[in-house]
Amino acid sequence: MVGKLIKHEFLDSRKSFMPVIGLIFGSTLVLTIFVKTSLQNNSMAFVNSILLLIFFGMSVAIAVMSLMAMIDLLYKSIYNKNGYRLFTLPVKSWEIVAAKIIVTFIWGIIIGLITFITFTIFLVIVTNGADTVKLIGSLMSYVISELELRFIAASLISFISSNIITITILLFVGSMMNSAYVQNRRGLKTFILYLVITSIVTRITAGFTLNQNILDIIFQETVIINPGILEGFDPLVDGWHHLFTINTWVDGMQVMLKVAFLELIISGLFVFGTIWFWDNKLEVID
Amino acid sequence: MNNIIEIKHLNKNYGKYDILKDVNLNLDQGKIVGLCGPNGAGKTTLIKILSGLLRAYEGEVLVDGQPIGKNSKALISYLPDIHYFDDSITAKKADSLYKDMYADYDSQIFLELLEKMKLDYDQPLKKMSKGMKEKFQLALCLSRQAEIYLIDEPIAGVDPASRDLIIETILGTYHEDALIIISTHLIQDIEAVLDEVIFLKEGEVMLHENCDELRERTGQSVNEVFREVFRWSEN
Repeated sequence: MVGKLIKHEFLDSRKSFMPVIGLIFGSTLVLTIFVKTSLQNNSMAFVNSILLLIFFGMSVAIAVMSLMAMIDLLYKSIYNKNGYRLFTLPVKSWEIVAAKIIVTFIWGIIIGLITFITFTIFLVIVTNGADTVKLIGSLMSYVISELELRFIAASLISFISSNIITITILLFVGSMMNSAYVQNRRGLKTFILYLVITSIVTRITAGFTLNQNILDIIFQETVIINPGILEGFDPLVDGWHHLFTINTWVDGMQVMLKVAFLELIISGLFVFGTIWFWDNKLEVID
Repeated sequence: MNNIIEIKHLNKNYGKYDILKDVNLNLDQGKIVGLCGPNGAGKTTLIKILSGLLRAYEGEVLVDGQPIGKNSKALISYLPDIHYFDDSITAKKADSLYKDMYADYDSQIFLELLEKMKLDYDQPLKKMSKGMKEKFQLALCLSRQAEIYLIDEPIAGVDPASRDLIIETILGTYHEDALIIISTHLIQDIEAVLDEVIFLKEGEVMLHENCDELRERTGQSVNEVFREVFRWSEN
C-alpha cells in the first residue's frame, strides 16, 4: 500500500513542484543569454543588467517556490479539506509518513538532477565546446577518486539524515497543531513551533560540529604563487592534481556520523510523535 | 443481524464546548438509518468520528468489533458535507486513486453513475458547478461496495429534483447488507426510505427507534415527531 500511496502523492504533488523545475530551466536560459551577450557585445549593458536582475529574481523564486512546494506536500496536502481524503484512506499512519518522506526525497533528487543537467548544458553552450562535458566528467571522477569510499558513504548518510530531520519536524509540528489541543490559527502556530523546534535541534547538533573540519581543498602552492602557470593547462591531459588535492579528516567524518546518528534518533522520535498525534488526537476541520 | 457499529459512552468536545454527550448506539447491517437533528446537534461530529477524522474523544467506538483505524476505514464509504477534492482532479484521476486504494471499489459502477449524472470523465472539478461536484463525490462514494456508508447532508443545498435523483441513486446502488447512515435535517425528503431514525439534540441521543414502530406508537409521521421533539413549527 505504501507504493500506491507514493504513486498518488507523487502525482498530486506535481502541480507544486513542476513550476520549480520550469523556473530552473528558465533561469538557466536567462543566465545563458546573459553570459553570451556579455561576452559578445559590451554595448548591451542595459539589457545585461535587466537579464541579471531577472536571473536573480528567478533564483529567489526557485528558493521560495521550493519551500512552498515542500509545505504543500508536508502540510497543506494533509490537513483541512485535504485531510478528508487522506485520513479516510484504509492505510496506517506510518504508511502515510513513509510515503511523505519518500516522495519528498524523490522530488529532491529530481530537482537536484535537473539543476545539474541544466547547469552542464549551460556550461557547454557558453564555452562552445563539447569538451566541457568531458571536463566535468573528469573533474567528478577526480573528486570521487580523492575521497575515500567511507567518506562518500558518511556524506550520503549525513545528507539523508539532515533532510529527514527537516521533513519529520514539519510533519510532527503539523500533527501537533492539527490535534484536539489546538482549535484555531493552526497554520500560524505550526510555522512558529516549526521555527522554535528547528532552532533547538540546530543548536543541539551544532554543538558537535564546531571546529571540526571534514575536508580541505588544497590548491597547489605553485598555482597560488604564480597563477600564470595555468596558461595552457589542460586538466584532461595534465590531471587535476596539478591544480588541487582534497584532504579528508577522519575526526571530522566521525563527528559528521555522530550528528547524523543523533539526527536520525531525533527524527525517529518525531515520526513516533506524528503517528501518536494522528492516531489519538487528530482533528480534521475544514 | 450483527451490530456493525457499537458506540459506548461517547463524549466529544471542541475546547470547552461539549459536542457529543454520552452517546450510546448499536447499529445493525442491512438498515438505512436517518441521523437527524438541527444544525449544531453533533451529526457531522459523530460521522467524522466514525470515519476516522476525529480521533480525540472519550468512550468506545467499534466498527465491526474493531476500533477506528485502517480496517474500519476499509469498511466505510464516507461522503462528507464539503467539497474535499482538489479542484484540479478529474473523474479519471479519482477513478485511478480509488482503484488503487479501495479493494471494494467498482470502477464500472463509477462509470455508470457518471453517465447517469451526466458528468464528464476528463472534466476537472474546477469546471463543474456546485451541484455537479456533489454528484461527483456521491458517485465515488457509492462506487464502493462498502459495508457502511456514511452520508453527511447529501440533500442539503440542492434543488428538489436533484434531491430525488440523489436518493434514488443511493437506493439503487448500495448493496442490501450494508448499513447506510444518512445525516440530515430535511427529514421529510428521506422519511420514506428510512428503517431507523436517530434524533440528536445538543449532542445527546433523544431517540433511536425503528421508523414503523415510531409511527405506530405516536400516530404521527417521523417528520412530525421530529418537529415536535425539536419544537419546530410547521410552515
